[in-house]
Amino acid sequence: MITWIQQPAAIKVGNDLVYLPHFEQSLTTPFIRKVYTAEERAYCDRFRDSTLRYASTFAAKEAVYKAVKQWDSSLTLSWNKIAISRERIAGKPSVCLLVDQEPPVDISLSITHDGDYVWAVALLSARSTTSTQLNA
Amino acid sequence: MGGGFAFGPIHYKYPTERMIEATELAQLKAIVRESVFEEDLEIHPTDHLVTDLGLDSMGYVDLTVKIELTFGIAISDKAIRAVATFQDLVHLITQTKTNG
Repeated sequence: MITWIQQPAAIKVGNDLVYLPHFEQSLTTPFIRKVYTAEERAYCDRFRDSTLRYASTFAAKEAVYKAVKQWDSSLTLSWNKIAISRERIAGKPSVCLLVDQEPPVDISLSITHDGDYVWAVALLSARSTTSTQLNA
Repeated sequence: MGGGFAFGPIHYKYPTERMIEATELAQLKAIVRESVFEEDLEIHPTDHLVTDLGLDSMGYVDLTVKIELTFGIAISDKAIRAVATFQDLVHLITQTKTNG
Protein backbone atom coordinates (compact mmCIF):
# COMPACT_ATOMS: atom_id res chain seq x y z
CA MET A 1 0.00 0.00 0.00
CA ILE A 2 1.36 3.39 -0.91
CA THR A 3 0.56 6.44 1.15
CA TRP A 4 1.26 9.92 -0.11
CA ILE A 5 1.94 12.54 2.47
CA GLN A 6 1.72 16.09 1.27
CA GLN A 7 4.41 18.46 2.48
CA PRO A 8 2.94 21.20 4.65
CA ALA A 9 1.94 24.11 2.47
CA ALA A 10 3.40 27.54 3.04
CA ILE A 11 0.70 29.81 4.42
CA LYS A 12 1.02 33.56 4.02
CA VAL A 13 -1.37 36.28 5.02
CA GLY A 14 -2.01 39.81 3.83
CA ASN A 15 -4.54 42.38 4.94
CA ASP A 16 -5.55 45.95 4.25
CA LEU A 17 -7.66 48.53 5.97
CA VAL A 18 -9.27 51.38 4.01
CA TYR A 19 -10.65 54.52 5.63
CA LEU A 20 -13.66 55.43 3.52
CA PRO A 21 -13.71 59.25 3.94
CA HIS A 22 -10.14 59.43 2.60
CA PHE A 23 -10.78 56.83 -0.06
CA GLU A 24 -13.73 58.81 -1.35
CA GLN A 25 -11.49 61.84 -1.88
CA SER A 26 -8.89 59.81 -3.75
CA LEU A 27 -11.33 57.96 -5.98
CA THR A 28 -10.90 59.90 -9.20
CA THR A 29 -11.21 58.70 -12.77
CA PRO A 30 -7.42 58.33 -13.21
CA PHE A 31 -7.29 56.41 -9.92
CA ILE A 32 -10.03 54.05 -11.13
CA ARG A 33 -8.34 53.62 -14.50
CA LYS A 34 -5.03 52.74 -12.87
CA VAL A 35 -6.31 50.28 -10.30
CA TYR A 36 -9.41 48.47 -11.55
CA THR A 37 -10.13 46.06 -14.37
CA ALA A 38 -13.11 46.67 -16.67
CA GLU A 39 -15.01 43.86 -14.93
CA GLU A 40 -14.35 45.32 -11.49
CA ARG A 41 -15.52 48.74 -12.63
CA ALA A 42 -18.69 47.23 -14.06
CA TYR A 43 -19.33 45.41 -10.79
CA CYS A 44 -18.73 48.40 -8.53
CA ASP A 45 -20.76 50.76 -10.71
CA ARG A 46 -23.84 48.54 -10.37
CA PHE A 47 -24.24 49.73 -6.79
CA ARG A 48 -25.64 52.99 -5.50
CA ASP A 49 -22.84 53.00 -2.92
CA SER A 50 -20.17 52.33 -5.51
CA THR A 51 -17.47 53.97 -3.36
CA LEU A 52 -17.86 51.21 -0.78
CA ARG A 53 -17.51 48.58 -3.52
CA TYR A 54 -14.45 50.26 -4.98
CA ALA A 55 -12.95 50.51 -1.49
CA SER A 56 -13.59 46.86 -0.66
CA THR A 57 -12.15 45.78 -3.99
CA PHE A 58 -9.11 47.94 -3.36
CA ALA A 59 -8.61 46.51 0.12
CA ALA A 60 -8.86 43.00 -1.33
CA LYS A 61 -6.27 43.78 -4.02
CA GLU A 62 -3.86 45.20 -1.47
CA ALA A 63 -4.36 42.25 0.88
CA VAL A 64 -3.59 39.87 -1.97
CA TYR A 65 -0.55 41.93 -2.94
CA LYS A 66 0.82 41.73 0.60
CA ALA A 67 0.23 37.98 0.87
CA VAL A 68 1.90 37.36 -2.49
CA LYS A 69 4.88 39.54 -1.50
CA GLN A 70 5.27 37.50 1.66
CA TRP A 71 5.37 34.36 -0.41
CA ASP A 72 7.76 35.70 -3.03
CA SER A 73 9.22 39.14 -2.42
CA SER A 74 10.57 39.35 -5.97
CA LEU A 75 7.08 39.27 -7.49
CA THR A 76 5.59 42.67 -8.19
CA LEU A 77 1.99 42.79 -9.25
CA SER A 78 0.34 45.87 -10.69
CA TRP A 79 -2.93 46.84 -9.07
CA ASN A 80 -4.91 46.05 -12.20
CA LYS A 81 -3.27 42.62 -12.50
CA ILE A 82 -4.96 41.49 -9.30
CA ALA A 83 -8.53 40.91 -10.41
CA ILE A 84 -11.19 40.58 -7.75
CA SER A 85 -14.52 39.01 -8.62
CA ARG A 86 -17.62 37.83 -6.78
CA GLU A 87 -19.51 34.64 -7.44
CA ARG A 88 -22.70 36.71 -7.36
CA ILE A 89 -23.79 40.17 -6.23
CA ALA A 90 -22.24 40.77 -2.81
CA GLY A 91 -21.16 37.14 -2.86
CA LYS A 92 -17.95 35.36 -1.98
CA PRO A 93 -14.94 37.19 -3.37
CA SER A 94 -12.20 35.49 -5.30
CA VAL A 95 -9.03 36.60 -6.98
CA CYS A 96 -7.36 35.91 -10.28
CA LEU A 97 -3.78 37.02 -10.90
CA LEU A 98 -3.53 38.30 -14.46
CA VAL A 99 0.05 37.29 -15.08
CA ASP A 100 1.74 35.24 -17.80
CA GLN A 101 2.60 32.37 -15.51
CA GLU A 102 0.16 31.94 -12.70
CA PRO A 103 2.01 31.18 -9.45
CA PRO A 104 1.19 27.82 -7.80
CA VAL A 105 -0.84 29.32 -5.00
CA ASP A 106 -4.40 29.29 -3.77
CA ILE A 107 -5.71 32.50 -2.29
CA SER A 108 -8.73 32.81 -0.07
CA LEU A 109 -10.25 36.22 0.50
CA SER A 110 -12.53 37.78 3.06
CA ILE A 111 -13.81 41.35 3.04
CA THR A 112 -15.79 43.18 5.68
CA HIS A 113 -16.86 46.73 6.43
CA ASP A 114 -18.24 48.64 9.35
CA GLY A 115 -18.83 52.35 9.55
CA ASP A 116 -15.97 54.23 7.95
CA TYR A 117 -13.69 51.24 7.51
CA VAL A 118 -13.30 48.40 5.05
CA TRP A 119 -10.99 45.51 5.86
CA ALA A 120 -9.83 42.66 3.70
CA VAL A 121 -7.76 39.60 4.51
CA ALA A 122 -6.07 37.31 2.00
CA LEU A 123 -4.79 33.89 2.96
CA LEU A 124 -2.34 32.39 0.51
CA SER A 125 -1.38 28.74 0.51
CA ALA A 126 1.35 27.60 -1.79
CA ARG A 127 0.57 24.38 -3.60
CA SER A 128 3.07 21.77 -2.60
CA THR A 129 5.34 20.81 -5.46
CA THR A 130 6.88 17.85 -3.70
CA SER A 131 5.28 14.88 -2.04
CA THR A 132 6.74 12.19 0.08
CA GLN A 133 6.00 8.60 -0.81
CA LEU A 134 5.76 6.10 2.01
CA ASN A 135 5.67 2.41 1.38
CA ALA A 136 3.46 0.98 4.03
CA MET B 1 38.09 92.52 5.56
CA GLY B 2 34.83 90.84 5.29
CA GLY B 3 31.23 91.69 5.20
CA GLY B 4 30.98 91.27 1.43
CA PHE B 5 28.75 88.90 -0.49
CA ALA B 6 30.07 85.51 -1.31
CA PHE B 7 29.49 84.73 -4.95
CA GLY B 8 29.72 81.26 -6.34
CA PRO B 9 27.62 78.15 -6.66
CA ILE B 10 24.57 77.94 -4.50
CA HIS B 11 25.04 75.40 -1.78
CA TYR B 12 21.87 73.49 -1.19
CA LYS B 13 21.10 71.93 2.09
CA TYR B 14 20.15 68.59 0.60
CA PRO B 15 21.12 66.92 -2.68
CA THR B 16 17.41 66.39 -3.39
CA GLU B 17 16.94 70.08 -4.01
CA ARG B 18 19.49 70.04 -6.78
CA MET B 19 17.64 67.35 -8.69
CA ILE B 20 14.43 69.25 -9.21
CA GLU B 21 13.28 72.84 -9.75
CA ALA B 22 12.10 74.65 -6.64
CA THR B 23 8.58 75.04 -8.02
CA GLU B 24 8.39 71.36 -8.87
CA LEU B 25 9.69 70.47 -5.43
CA ALA B 26 6.95 72.61 -3.88
CA GLN B 27 4.36 70.95 -6.14
CA LEU B 28 5.61 67.52 -5.14
CA LYS B 29 5.48 68.31 -1.45
CA ALA B 30 1.93 69.60 -1.89
CA ILE B 31 0.96 66.36 -3.62
CA VAL B 32 2.43 64.26 -0.82
CA ARG B 33 0.58 66.36 1.76
CA GLU B 34 -2.68 65.80 -0.15
CA SER B 35 -2.04 62.08 -0.38
CA VAL B 36 -1.54 61.74 3.36
CA PHE B 37 -4.31 64.23 4.19
CA GLU B 38 -1.95 66.41 6.25
CA GLU B 39 -1.82 69.92 4.84
CA ASP B 40 0.75 71.25 7.33
CA LEU B 41 3.08 68.29 7.16
CA GLU B 42 6.80 69.09 7.19
CA ILE B 43 8.66 67.03 4.64
CA HIS B 44 12.38 66.31 4.67
CA PRO B 45 14.32 64.46 1.98
CA THR B 46 15.13 61.46 4.13
CA ASP B 47 11.59 61.07 5.43
CA HIS B 48 10.18 57.62 4.79
CA LEU B 49 6.89 57.90 2.93
CA VAL B 50 5.18 55.26 5.07
CA THR B 51 6.78 55.40 8.49
CA ASP B 52 7.50 59.15 8.69
CA LEU B 53 4.88 60.72 6.45
CA GLY B 54 2.05 58.25 6.98
CA LEU B 55 1.42 57.21 3.39
CA ASP B 56 -0.77 54.11 3.11
CA SER B 57 -1.50 51.74 0.25
CA MET B 58 -4.28 53.93 -1.10
CA GLY B 59 -2.02 56.94 -0.73
CA TYR B 60 0.53 55.31 -3.01
CA VAL B 61 -2.02 55.13 -5.82
CA ASP B 62 -3.26 58.65 -5.13
CA LEU B 63 0.30 59.93 -5.12
CA THR B 64 1.11 58.16 -8.39
CA VAL B 65 -1.96 59.47 -10.16
CA LYS B 66 -1.33 63.05 -9.03
CA ILE B 67 2.37 62.95 -9.96
CA GLU B 68 1.50 61.60 -13.41
CA LEU B 69 -1.03 64.35 -14.00
CA THR B 70 1.14 67.15 -12.60
CA PHE B 71 4.44 66.23 -14.20
CA GLY B 72 3.11 64.62 -17.36
CA ILE B 73 4.92 61.34 -16.83
CA ALA B 74 3.92 57.70 -16.46
CA ILE B 75 5.07 55.81 -13.41
CA SER B 76 4.82 52.05 -13.21
CA ASP B 77 3.33 50.36 -10.18
CA LYS B 78 6.60 48.52 -9.69
CA ALA B 79 8.58 51.75 -9.63
CA ILE B 80 6.34 53.55 -7.14
CA ARG B 81 6.24 50.48 -4.88
CA ALA B 82 10.05 50.60 -4.73
CA VAL B 83 10.09 54.19 -3.47
CA ALA B 84 10.92 54.45 0.22
CA THR B 85 11.88 58.04 1.02
CA PHE B 86 10.86 61.44 -0.30
CA GLN B 87 14.32 61.71 -1.82
CA ASP B 88 13.72 58.44 -3.68
CA LEU B 89 10.50 59.90 -5.02
CA VAL B 90 12.29 62.98 -6.34
CA HIS B 91 14.87 60.70 -7.90
CA LEU B 92 12.18 58.59 -9.56
CA ILE B 93 10.54 61.67 -11.07
CA THR B 94 13.78 63.14 -12.40
CA GLN B 95 14.82 59.76 -13.81
CA THR B 96 11.43 59.25 -15.45
CA LYS B 97 11.45 62.75 -16.91
CA THR B 98 14.92 62.20 -18.31
CA ASN B 99 14.53 58.66 -19.59
CA GLY B 100 10.83 58.66 -20.34
